[in-house]
Amino acid sequence: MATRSASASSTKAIIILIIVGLLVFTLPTVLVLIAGMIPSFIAYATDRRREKYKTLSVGCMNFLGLLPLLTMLWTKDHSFDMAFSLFADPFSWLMVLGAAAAGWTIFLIAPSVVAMFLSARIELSVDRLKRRQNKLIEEWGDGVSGNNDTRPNNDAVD
Amino acid sequence: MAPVILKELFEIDDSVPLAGYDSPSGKTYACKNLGEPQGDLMAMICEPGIPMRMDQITALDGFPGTGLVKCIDSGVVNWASSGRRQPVLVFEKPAGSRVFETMESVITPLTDDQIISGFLTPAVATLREFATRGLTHRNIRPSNLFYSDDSARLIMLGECVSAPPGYNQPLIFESLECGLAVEIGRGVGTPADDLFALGVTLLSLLIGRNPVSKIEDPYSFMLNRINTGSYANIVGNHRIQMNMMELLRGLLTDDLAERWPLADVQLWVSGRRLTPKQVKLPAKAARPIPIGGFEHENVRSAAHGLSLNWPIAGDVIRGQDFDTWIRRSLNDEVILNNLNKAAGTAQAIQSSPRADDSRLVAKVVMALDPSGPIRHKGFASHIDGIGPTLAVVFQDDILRKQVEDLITSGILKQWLALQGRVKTELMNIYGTLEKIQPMVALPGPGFGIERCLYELNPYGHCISPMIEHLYITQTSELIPALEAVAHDQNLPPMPIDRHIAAFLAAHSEHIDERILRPLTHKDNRPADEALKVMRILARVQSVYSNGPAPNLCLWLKDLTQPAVDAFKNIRLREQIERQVVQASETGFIVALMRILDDNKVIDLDKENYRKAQQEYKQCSAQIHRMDIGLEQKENLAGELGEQVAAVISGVIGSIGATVFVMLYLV
Repeated sequence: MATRSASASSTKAIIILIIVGLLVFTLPTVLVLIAGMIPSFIAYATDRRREKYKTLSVGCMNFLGLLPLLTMLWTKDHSFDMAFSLFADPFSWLMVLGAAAAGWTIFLIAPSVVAMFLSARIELSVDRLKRRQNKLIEEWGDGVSGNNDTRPNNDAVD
Repeated sequence: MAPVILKELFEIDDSVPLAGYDSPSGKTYACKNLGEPQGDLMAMICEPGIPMRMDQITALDGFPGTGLVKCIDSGVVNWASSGRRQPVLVFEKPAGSRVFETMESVITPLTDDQIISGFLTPAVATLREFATRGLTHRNIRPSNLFYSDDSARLIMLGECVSAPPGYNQPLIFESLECGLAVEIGRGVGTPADDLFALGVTLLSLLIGRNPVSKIEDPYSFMLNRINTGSYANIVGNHRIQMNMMELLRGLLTDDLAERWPLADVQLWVSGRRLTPKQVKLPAKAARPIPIGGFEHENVRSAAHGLSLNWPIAGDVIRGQDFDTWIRRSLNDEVILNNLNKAAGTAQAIQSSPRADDSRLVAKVVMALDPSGPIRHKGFASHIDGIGPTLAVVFQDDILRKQVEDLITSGILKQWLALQGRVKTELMNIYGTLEKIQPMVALPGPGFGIERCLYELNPYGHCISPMIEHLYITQTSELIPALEAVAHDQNLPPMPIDRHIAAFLAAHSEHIDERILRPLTHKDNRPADEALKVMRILARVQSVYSNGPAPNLCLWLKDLTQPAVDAFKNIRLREQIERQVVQASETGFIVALMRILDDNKVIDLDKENYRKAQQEYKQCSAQIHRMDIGLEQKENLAGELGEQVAAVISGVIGSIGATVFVMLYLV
């Protein structure tokens, strides 16, 4: 037991060292990511669900808006200067925040759309069931609904 | 009025009444044969309420000679003046008139020669033929004699089939055995009873009038006859020639062993003359016994007194005085044996419970006078008179109850034990009475006292208020009769009542208890009674092939409407309604029954209805659930919407990234 626990701890330490190493070597990218993904961090901070749907919605779109900047950073010059210059361009911010806003919009509109869809589907089902009930009444009379049958029933014969 | 046709053989002219040939139970009209001429005929339209002797009509078929008014045929006709169907008897019309127009008539007394050659000779021949056939006339009296020729020389006996035996006979023409019974219950009797009536008739012809024109008190008259003999009480002070006295004493003696048989009468008619013997009187007891304030000196008198004073007779019988009288004063071994057989020992009699008094009295009376009628609770009838009595008194609650009590009393076994040789016909009636005794108490249609009525009157007509006026005597006539009833506007509640059910049960071998029993029980199925009735009528119609009865079917259709309404499936109900209408138009009840009595269809309809109800309930539950879902849609849509948003964003992000990478790489 003690051997296995020591092994797991050493694996964790190795992974952390690798990530730290990567962060050290990709600091411009980390800078762009940290600055560009701020809307996602805000979404994460305000997301109370365990499943983090809001974070996913905003994060996916936010990352899509950030992807051209990262590409430019990686393909032109992977440096702090380049990272700062990218953020100095308002168009870059427009793209990053616009994409994040689109994620917010999807997150806000989707429940209403789903609600509309659900109520339409329920109403259709209710209509179908009511039609079936009417058909049963047509076929069997009011009695089938549990109401008293109003037809005369002269069974008292001497 | 148009002539009435009987069986397409006889034409009855209801505008030509023949009043001179009427009988107390029927009026006579002119009649002619539409086929071969059969001489003068007359048709007697009989009272529907009085049973005829139908078995006697058959037994008299081919009766020889001219000594009897013979019945040629019988049937039922629509009689316009009464507005109903009535039984009719077709007789050969006597050539001459009636000898005595009524029992009160006075005629010129007949001479010895006229009586011997004109009356006794043919009468003895006729009675011999009756005896040969094992029959009795039981309707011999002056007002039922006719001249059989224009010259008024030969006298013939009148008809003997329009009423039960002895029913129309005045009391003096009945022997003690028969006269002690009620008029309708006098029974077929024996040739000795005919000879007694012949003797009184002979006396009437000799003196030219009724020898006892008025009987003030029948009880006292019969008591006097018992004590002092019928001869003394009927002949009385009338002056009779010595030669006739011998014959009259021989015929009017009350002792059956002493009464002349037919052979002795024949010898007398042929010229044998003996010294007249004194009429033998019944053996007297050493001292009389008082019953109901009257002193009785012989057993028959005591039996008569006990039977008529039956409410107090139980106390009399249980008293020590009665036992002493039987054992010491009477000193008759035969009577003692009879008492032992019928009622048991003296101790058994004395310890008999008071509640059983009526049976005890009946048994003791039976033991004292075994040849007399069966007497129970004031009612007296011979065993073969019970059926006709029930037929005549059925609408009288008190008399019907008396007959019912007699049948259920269980005293008939004792009656049989006390009889010597019993005729086959009487044994058959006894067997029927034994069979029906347990049925009297059964409450359902087809049983009860109505069943007794029809079992005991195999030729009787059905007296159901519905069809009584149609006078049906055979079960094959029932469907046409009900069809005629169904043609009227005012329909009875059901086509079968207690009378019709009992009539069918008694007269048809095809309607047995299995079919009738369900009528006793009621259940909850709609129109169940009508369906049970329909099953019975369908069977009757199919067994007797009566042809279509559309009105009856329409009637049944209306009665069974609740059964149609009971079908839950509307389309099926409409289909069955159409089928029922079509079936009722055919006039065959069985067609109706096949539709309404198909349990498979009924059960399937019920099962499907149950399933439909379940399905309706399930639909309602689902709708309810969905209504709740609709109210809570914001909650549901919230989580689902966020999921959808995440998925959409993810998808757009993935597609966008892929597109971007691809565009960049290209």
